[in-house]
Amino acid sequence: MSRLEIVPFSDEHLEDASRLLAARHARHRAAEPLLPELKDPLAAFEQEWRTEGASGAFAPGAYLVAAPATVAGITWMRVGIAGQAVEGDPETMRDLYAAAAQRWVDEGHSKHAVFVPSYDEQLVDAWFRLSFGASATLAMRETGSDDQLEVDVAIRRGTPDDFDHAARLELEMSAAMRPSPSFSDVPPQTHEEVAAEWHEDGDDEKYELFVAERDGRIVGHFLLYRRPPDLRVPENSIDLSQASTEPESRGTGIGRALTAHVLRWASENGYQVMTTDWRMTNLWASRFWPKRGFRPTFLRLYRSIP
Amino acid sequence: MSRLEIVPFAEEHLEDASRLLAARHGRHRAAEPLLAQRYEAPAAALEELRGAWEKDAASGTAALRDGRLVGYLIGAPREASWGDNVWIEAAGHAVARAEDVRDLYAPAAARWVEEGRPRHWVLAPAHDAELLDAWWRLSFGQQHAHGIQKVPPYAEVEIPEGFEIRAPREDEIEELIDVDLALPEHQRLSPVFGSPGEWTRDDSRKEWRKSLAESKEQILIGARDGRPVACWAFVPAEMSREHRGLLRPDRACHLGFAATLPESRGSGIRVALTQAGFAWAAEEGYPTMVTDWRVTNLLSSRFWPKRGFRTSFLRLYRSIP
Repeated sequence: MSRLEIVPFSDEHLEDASRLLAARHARHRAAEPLLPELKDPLAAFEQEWRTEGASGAFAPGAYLVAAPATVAGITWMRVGIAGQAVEGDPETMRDLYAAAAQRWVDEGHSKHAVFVPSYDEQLVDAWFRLSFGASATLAMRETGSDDQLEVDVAIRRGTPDDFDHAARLELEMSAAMRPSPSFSDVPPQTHEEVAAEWHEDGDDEKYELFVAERDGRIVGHFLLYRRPPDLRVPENSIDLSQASTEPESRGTGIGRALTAHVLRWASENGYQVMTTDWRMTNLWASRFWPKRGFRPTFLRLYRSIP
Repeated sequence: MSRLEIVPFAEEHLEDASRLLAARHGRHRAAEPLLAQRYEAPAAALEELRGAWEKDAASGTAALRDGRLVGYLIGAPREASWGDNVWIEAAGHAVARAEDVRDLYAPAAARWVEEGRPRHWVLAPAHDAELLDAWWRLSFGQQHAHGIQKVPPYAEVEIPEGFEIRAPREDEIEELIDVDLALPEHQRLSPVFGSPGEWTRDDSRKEWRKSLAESKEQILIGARDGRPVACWAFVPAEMSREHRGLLRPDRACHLGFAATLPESRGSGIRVALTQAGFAWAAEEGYPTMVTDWRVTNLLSSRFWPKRGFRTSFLRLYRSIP
């Protein structure tokens, strides 16, 4: 077998990278036809590559690029959804990571995250063998629902009068990600901070809030978001970006009722696809959403060194 | 399916847990018959389990369905060189249903993190894809593999031109040190990013002198133009710190060290030394050979499976955050 030649990624590889990404996405769409057509693979790739601090590796038939991403004060070196592609043996990705990651670590980045197209089991396995574990899932499904649930809960559209409750429920959702085995290290916000955000742009037209009431009390909410399209978000889709039930009402059917409701609403309002995401280490979420018909499109994997 | 109840692991669970462990090992042996048979007996499994449970600061969880034990998880810290750690050793978990390990881990890990131990290792049977998947979905990645194979009755040793295979000599200790240090140097680099303890030339010199004086190991040197460039060392598996309990087959030898200078990798000497090791093991009457490697070491993780080693256990790792 001829020797694999790996070089640092540079602008001269852009054309090859966009071709590799287009081919990867075509395979991905064959496995998940709801994914959008990738009209401009070069632009999709450049979004990763033009991010400040981006670096990576290239070999004939494969590339890997990551850039620093900071969330709540914590910086990860992150391979985005367009940040890798490989033709042929996915094992090559391990060589590319070896070449790229030395620089990332030398630059002080010891937390690495990578989005992997979930259809490619061999590629996912290659990352598992680079000591990456699963940390989150991006998923999608068709809208519409035939579920006729008999749950004693009334679901209605949210209004600005509900925003304080929405803040309370959003905080409950964040709190659910902190305990074991999720161990989210995102610093908690105060009720006042979250409520201020809701009052500032909660009624923006990009959002649709749905609340569930029981005995006159708001016990859960779902927030839909018109997410800008990209290679995993179709134009005719809407994102289920928040789903929260107050702790004492969990397990009573509120989540299922809200899911069926928003899936019907989305279908009736011209959205053919719903996207969402969840923490893989959140036991409840990682069991609930697949049962509601959501199929993974990308997995976010994580490695901390050491 | 009836509801899963998770409670702290206690002495009272040991006996039922030993039956789960023995059953797990039975399934493991169906996939890898070279593993020791005796742990299929709950009494032998119980001994291993007690070893895990009676370690300092051990704690864990038990899973019950309808009052019946259907899973358990036990972890305990190893020495401080592993950092703020907890290890779920080979006998440290068994479940009737793989997914339940996630429910067992959640409260156990909460305690470990609260105790200031955010680095978690687990030794999992490699045959069980569903169990590995459950650990992976708890954000554990593969770090280390334990390999096993039957010693072939006859191994032809094809030594590449310009090389010889022989015993190490007292008068070449400085060259032997170069070979010894090549492994930790390689393991510090990407994508292993290992943090082997400080190992100086002086440390290595002392170790070589001791090894040559004691002759407890079978050491094979690959030399090019007379100079040592590679070293393979074999011991009875009983001398291995890692291949113990469920990991240790009967009457096995352990390939405990293998290192090659970078410029001689790919020359064929590594294959020849492995063949020579098989020939030695066959002569000594060892039916089985075990070894282990870093999964993140690209060279090792590709080389050893090609030499016939099958993974018996995988060491998985998660650091929080």
